[in-house]
Amino acid sequence: MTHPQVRVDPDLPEFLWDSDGVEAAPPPARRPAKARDGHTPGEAGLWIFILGDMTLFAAILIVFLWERRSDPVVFEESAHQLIQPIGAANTLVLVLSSYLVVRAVVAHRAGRYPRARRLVAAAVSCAAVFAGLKAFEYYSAISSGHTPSSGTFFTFYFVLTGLHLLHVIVGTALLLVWQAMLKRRRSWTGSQKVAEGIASYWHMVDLLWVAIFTLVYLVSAE
Amino acid sequence: MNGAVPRRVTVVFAGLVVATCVTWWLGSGSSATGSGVSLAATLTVLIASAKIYFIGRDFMELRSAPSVLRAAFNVWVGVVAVAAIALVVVPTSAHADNKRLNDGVAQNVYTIQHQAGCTTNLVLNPQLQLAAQWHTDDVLNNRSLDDDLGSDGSTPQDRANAVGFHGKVAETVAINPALAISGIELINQWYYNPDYLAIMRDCANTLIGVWSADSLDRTVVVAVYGQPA
Amino acid sequence: MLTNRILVLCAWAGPATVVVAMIGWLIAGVLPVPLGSESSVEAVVSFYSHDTRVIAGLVISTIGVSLVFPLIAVIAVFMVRMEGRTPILAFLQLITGAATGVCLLLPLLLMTTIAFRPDRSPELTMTLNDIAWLLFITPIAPFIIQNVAIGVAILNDKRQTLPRWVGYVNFWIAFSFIPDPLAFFFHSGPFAWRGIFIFWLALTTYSVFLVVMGLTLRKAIRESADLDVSAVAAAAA
Repeated sequence: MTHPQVRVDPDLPEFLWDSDGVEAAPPPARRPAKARDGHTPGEAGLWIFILGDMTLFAAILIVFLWERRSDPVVFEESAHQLIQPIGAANTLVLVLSSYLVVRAVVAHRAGRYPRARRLVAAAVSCAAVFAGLKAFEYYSAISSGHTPSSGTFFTFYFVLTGLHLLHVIVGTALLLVWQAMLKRRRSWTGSQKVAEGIASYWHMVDLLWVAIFTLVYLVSAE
Repeated sequence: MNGAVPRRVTVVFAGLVVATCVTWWLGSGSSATGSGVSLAATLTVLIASAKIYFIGRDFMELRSAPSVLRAAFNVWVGVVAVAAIALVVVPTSAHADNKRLNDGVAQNVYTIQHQAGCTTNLVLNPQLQLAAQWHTDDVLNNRSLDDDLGSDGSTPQDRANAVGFHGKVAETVAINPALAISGIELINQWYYNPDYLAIMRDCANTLIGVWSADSLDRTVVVAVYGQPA
Repeated sequence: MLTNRILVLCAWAGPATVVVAMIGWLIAGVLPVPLGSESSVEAVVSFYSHDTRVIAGLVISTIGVSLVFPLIAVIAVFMVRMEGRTPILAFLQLITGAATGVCLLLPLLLMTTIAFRPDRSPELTMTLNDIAWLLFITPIAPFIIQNVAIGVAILNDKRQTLPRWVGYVNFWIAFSFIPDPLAFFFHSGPFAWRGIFIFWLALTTYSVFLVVMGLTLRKAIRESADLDVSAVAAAAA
């Protein structure tokens, strides 16, 4: 592919010709811009990831509930081994962090950078609290002898919460990226997609935990 | 834009906190049995689904998103909620697992009979099974019972007659203070009980009904042996 | 021009991998129901006893999985265009992509070797089968790094050489491989090597990767060929 304005260098293979200096050409209109009513938070492609991720978790949760049917009593007993208050606390912590993220988006939108930074920092602290509580929970479960191979319930418990914890870690990293953008006082127009995308990802982390807490901690124990 | 958070968002946040506490309270109210469990579980799932719906609508700002996206998200919530409720509420065929145990017991009794020299057959009888089931549930729920006598003073013969079986019956009962009992443990218990062994070996008992049930710390298995009237 | 034709062929190699490998596996009997960690010794020995069919099918499948190499190459070409002078992600994709091809190839060749002598001692057959399957299912790192590299490059590309949603799909695919090492821990159930969240999930998402990348690259090649034509025409005018 040759851009007319690329500096041709006969000694280098074509793919290394300097294209850095080229002003980013406006992306070719891939399809006619459909007048969609509504604003997609972040961008459309991100939602493929988010919905895909949610579907994966949903599949694991559904299989979990299916497996529960062959042994509801054992599942109930195992669920009672979990420390429900920690699960509940973690739910509240993530819900709070989501709320802070919403407020941070609003603040960023309005150009109030110090406030946005404080809010994002607070959300990151919530994530740290979540991780700390989770570490304690894992430690307590394992030292009581419950490992991922202690039966179907605990297999699913560790896999679900483990995958979720990975999401929390990735989400926290993304929040820190956003924080860096805020420190540089990047304008909303330049950062809207990224900030909203990161916020949406974080809300997904929150809602996945609600699902896990509900089905693994509460419903199984009922 | 003045950077003020819409009140709606704060209301949703408060609602999420309250909903979390409500579901936690629902979930920790343990020892509900039967339909109480299903109701609590359904309620919990519904409240959680509402929470997720509002997180999507107001936190993720999907309320102002293209309808396709909103629809996709809501479909996810709906499908997961319905599937969860269905999987939790539809009665589990715990009986299926017990069926294996029950069938195994009948099979073992047949073996013991034939080891003792019987040449007769042993057939599962639904009436005897019902009589066994009555007594099983009775013994499971009444801890003072530990043998043939029912809480209403009935004997195995009384119960068989009540079910419509008028032949001579005998009964063996196993109570295990645990979550389950294995077929081997069970047969051993009965084998080393001289009275029970005599019952099992009696070639005249050509009909049998077996039932078992368990709770967290009590398993009950009842076998009723019958001779045709 | 010839380069373009080669690029197009390489792009088509993506979907072709899926088709050829699946055909091979269907013939060999690996699909629709593969051997599982919970399969009995008799089941495993009996599977490999149909040696001619198994060998033929597996050989076809090895050709199939080798078709990922052309796809990896054309992905690399486009990633270089996205990155410019320092195409580190393109190189990363190239290296890890090559590794993924080997990770797919060797276990299948091992399975073919098992079928080479059907009268082997059953313990040996079981052991070799375990090795083949675990080697096939568990090495997630090259795949994950490859997908993440592609995703990052696409999202960082200001010229939108490839559609942005493809980047996100790559992230999702990378994520779907994460549970696979659990196959080492479970001998049955949804997290064993034949489990739904291990073999079936990875098979599905990797196939999605091959088809999506193949088709979007095909489209991008066609579009850039058009641009070339118009640039040449403009220069000639």
